[in-house]
Amino acid sequence: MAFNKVENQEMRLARFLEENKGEIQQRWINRVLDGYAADASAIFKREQDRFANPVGYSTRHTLSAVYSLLFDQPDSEPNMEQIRNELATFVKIRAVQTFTPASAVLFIFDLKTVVRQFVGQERNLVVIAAEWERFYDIVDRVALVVFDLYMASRERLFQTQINEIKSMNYMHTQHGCSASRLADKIPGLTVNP
Amino acid sequence: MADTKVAEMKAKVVTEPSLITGAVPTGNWWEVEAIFKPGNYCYPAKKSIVEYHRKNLSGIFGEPRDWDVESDDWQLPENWQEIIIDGIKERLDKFRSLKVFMDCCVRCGACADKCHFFLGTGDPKNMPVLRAELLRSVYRNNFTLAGKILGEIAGARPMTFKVLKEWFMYYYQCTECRRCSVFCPYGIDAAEITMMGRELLHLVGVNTNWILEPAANSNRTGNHLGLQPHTFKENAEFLLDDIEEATGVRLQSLSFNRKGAEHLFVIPSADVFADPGIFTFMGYLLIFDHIGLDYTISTYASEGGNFGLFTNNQLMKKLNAKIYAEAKRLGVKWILGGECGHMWRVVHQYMDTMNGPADFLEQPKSSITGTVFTNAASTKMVHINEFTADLIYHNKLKIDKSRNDHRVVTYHDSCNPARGMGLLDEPRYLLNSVCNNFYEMPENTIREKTFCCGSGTGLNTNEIMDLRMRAGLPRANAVGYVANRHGVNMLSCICALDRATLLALNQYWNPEVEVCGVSELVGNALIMEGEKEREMDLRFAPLTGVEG
Repeated sequence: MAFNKVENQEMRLARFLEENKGEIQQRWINRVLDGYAADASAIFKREQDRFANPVGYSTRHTLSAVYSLLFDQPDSEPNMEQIRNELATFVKIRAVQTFTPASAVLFIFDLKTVVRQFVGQERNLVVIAAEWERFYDIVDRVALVVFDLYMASRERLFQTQINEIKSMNYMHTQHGCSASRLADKIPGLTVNP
Repeated sequence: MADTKVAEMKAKVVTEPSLITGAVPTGNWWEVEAIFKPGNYCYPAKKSIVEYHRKNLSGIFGEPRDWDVESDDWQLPENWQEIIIDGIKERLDKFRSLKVFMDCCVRCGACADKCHFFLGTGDPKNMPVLRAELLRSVYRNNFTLAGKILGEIAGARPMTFKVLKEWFMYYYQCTECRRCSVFCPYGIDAAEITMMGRELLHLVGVNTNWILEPAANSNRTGNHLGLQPHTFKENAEFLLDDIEEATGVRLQSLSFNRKGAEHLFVIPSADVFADPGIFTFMGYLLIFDHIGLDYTISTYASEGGNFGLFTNNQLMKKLNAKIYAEAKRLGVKWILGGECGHMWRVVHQYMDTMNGPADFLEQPKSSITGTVFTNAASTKMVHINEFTADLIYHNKLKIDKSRNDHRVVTYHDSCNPARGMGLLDEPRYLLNSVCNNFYEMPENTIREKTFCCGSGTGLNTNEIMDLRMRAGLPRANAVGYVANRHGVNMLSCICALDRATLLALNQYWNPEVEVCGVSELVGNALIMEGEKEREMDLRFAPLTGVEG
């Protein structure tokens, strides 16, 4: 029955992640929100209204949803397309906040830290290497999705910037309209350059 | 051992939970330095622009020079601290509101999480209470007994370069939208604190180009784009061709600088040439033609948006006075104003004190319905939405609502008309009258609690696009919600700045949602005399039922 024993051991982490879902999600969310200044993080954690607190809500909602998609059904492969959809807005937010690219995507690696620390506190739980490997592998795959989303958000931002530069509004305000440039060339006529 | 006591008290201040948030601070907020990096500050004004302003209004725009925001040498005048402190003193004497706002805050924290900049950035100095503390701490240091004696313990600190940097950082991360003021139990108008902060910065020549250049243009040619009269006229007339193509009707009522017209019509200049403002302009013209209104547009008061509001009260007064000077010169009865934001804030809140009352004009009365606009008794200026709502209320417009059926519309309360003048119901009345598909955004994001576009008060420059996107997050978040829930594809608003900046905001957050003015939707629904069978809207998009 050696095979069964291994299978049972392999399921331990998966079951642990499922059974302790609420607590792990909360620790993960708190860790990510702690990345903001203390005063901000306290408000982002406290306010529940999604419109009064878009950053807090998006963090809570997205990380909880991603966690569920990853670990609710340990027997099936996580649906990466669904995970991508869940993450899109959240990564968009982090892509325009004052994070470095590394710290913007750090939240997904935080899940590894949170789970490792939590498992470490459970003396009765022994997780074999293969199961850690599987867990890390899944998180890394999500990390790749996050990289893609981060870059797509930055590209969208730059495209927005380009669109505005190309619009006439910008041309006229930043460089003076053609009429004023013409007037500049008329000797003796003083206008604003 | 008085020093020990001071040290203990200081430690207590920084280690006990904050009254505002319950969080335990890790250090004193003012120890965190403002660091300028590309993308988090607006470019300073060109030397030539400051020189121009100094020629017109001396003593309020500092020394013209080239300076680098990221460097530690802003080439300030030697006595810059003295200039700032004298500036504070002058303003405390002049504006009683400032004195009250400096003294009466109890730091209850009601405003702390109401600012879109705070909600988007998570930067505590964007809490309105802390943003005000940036100035209040210097006020305490120089103008209060407690501050002079107790210093830091009383929350006082001297004016240093570090403080100046904070002012430049955070008074340009406030759009003077006044959302926080709605929640303040003392009614502190944080926008006016920012206005004072910016005035003080201008005194020592710390400024931004995107504000000062449009303000210079407005002073010189009448509009922020610097369009000269013939260009302005040609741009506007060009839109008559588009109206004719969409509706089959050639409008005849547009005129410029015509003496003896009944009304002067003042618009934000972006409406005559910038997409999507031009469609709003087409809407205005269709409404006027529909009812045969006798109006004219001035090519000299060709800008409603008052860029002076973002600099100094004297420049604000001067730019506002242009509108009234033109009304006088042209001999109109009263003034109609277009869908503009800051114009209305200035007209409603400051005009009467600065340039009013406009006694040479008549009490506004609609020549079509007979309605007297008593609310404009002093300023003699009526908002186009108010005027149009009155027309619809009296059945003076022939409307086909189905022409907007291809639009699922929501409405963004532009901050200044909403909070600055209380224009909340008229735009909604119009939308319900001309659209079959109108959905409100959530209650705590509209009307007087509306979230700013994130780029007002001259922050709509693209070198700070990241900042604009995070500041606009609360607004975009609510738009995204109704887009998902109701399929909203059109965000209507009544401010030219909104029409420009919400466009960019949506391109990033909600690319499926377009932006329009309310009058565009009204114009689109109007059944004009002699019109052809309509197949397209004013943007040449096919109407429902005639696609493909």
